[in-house]
Amino acid sequence: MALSRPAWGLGTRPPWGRLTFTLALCLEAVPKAIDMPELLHHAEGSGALGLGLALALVALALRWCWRDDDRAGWAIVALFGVAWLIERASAEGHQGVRHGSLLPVSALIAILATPRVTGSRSAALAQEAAWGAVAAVYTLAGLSKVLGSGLAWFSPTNLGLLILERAADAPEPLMSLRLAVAGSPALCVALATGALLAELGGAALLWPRARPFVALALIFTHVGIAALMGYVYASWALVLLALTWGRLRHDPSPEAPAG
Amino acid sequence: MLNRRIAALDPPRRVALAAFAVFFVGGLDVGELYPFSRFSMYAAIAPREEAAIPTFRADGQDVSPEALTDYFGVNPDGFAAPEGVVTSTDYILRERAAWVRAHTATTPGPVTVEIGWELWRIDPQTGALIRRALVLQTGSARWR
Repeated sequence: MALSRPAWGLGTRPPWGRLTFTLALCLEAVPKAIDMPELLHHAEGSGALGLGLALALVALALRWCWRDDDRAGWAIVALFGVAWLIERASAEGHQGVRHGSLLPVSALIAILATPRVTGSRSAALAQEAAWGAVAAVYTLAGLSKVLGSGLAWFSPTNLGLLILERAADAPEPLMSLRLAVAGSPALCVALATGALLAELGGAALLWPRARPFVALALIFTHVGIAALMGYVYASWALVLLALTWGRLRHDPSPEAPAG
Repeated sequence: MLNRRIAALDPPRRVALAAFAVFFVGGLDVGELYPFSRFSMYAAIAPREEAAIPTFRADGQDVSPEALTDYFGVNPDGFAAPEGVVTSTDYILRERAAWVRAHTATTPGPVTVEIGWELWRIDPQTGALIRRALVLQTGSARWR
């Protein structure tokens, strides 16, 4: 039971790193409410199901954050799993753009599993476990591009046409920006190279000294992807911010102070 | 050798390395099985010369399919890119097909619907945007 003892009560504000991480989880809950009707072919009740799922995720995330409640954390993992199952089961599901929740969820699983594996609720160990999961996600993303495209990834038309496809429905001034970048082969090669290096550099997140530099490179990559392709991975950037410059939890005090 | 190196790491590094190994090997090995993934979005796209953008027009205006209902004469199974057209926007097609499939009618509506593609490329010499349109289907619908 000692392992599930809350580190703080309702009256103590969690560290901002944990609040930021929780915000990332909540941001990933929102699309579940929006997408569920479409995934369930606009069936009756699908809107209510999506809204219920999103509200439950937000409520559990807040409880996990404030009460350090591991059961709430595992419930979050389970509910994101339910959403994933619905997405996969939907013949019309747009697989391939539904990786958003997996980075914060992977980090959360690593955080929750650490006390069970190590027998310690050390804050440092939990944060290191989260780093390991995050490093794996980015390294896999980079490796997938190397294995899937090889040298063709660096072709100016590869990224240029991807950006051009996303220019058509973009509002000004994003449309002009995307057209300008897509029309510059040298810039497209530079951006494709930079993004791939940043993702492959995710492995370097295992080394504490490299973390601020790699995290910044990855956050800039996310900003670039949002501006040029319209995919906003805010939750991933928030997780990087939380882990690099924040703390996920306080170390539990050995004994509660008397009086 | 590797065992000794791992044993020499301090406990936090060992924990980070263990979590990395679980999610990296899990992603590579099992692929797309929650919570694992290879995160292969846009990792492999066939070579192409033009960007393919799916279009959806009602009475000549670009609209979201969700602005309309009671689709008539439109086949959602025929939204896919024609042969030779490569796109990274498959998911948009699936979203649109799902909406149309769920909102069909047995009689024509007052709004003319055109579904197709715009193929865009930038002329490397002049930098000008060159567009050409492909209309695949026409039908009708009703504003919601």
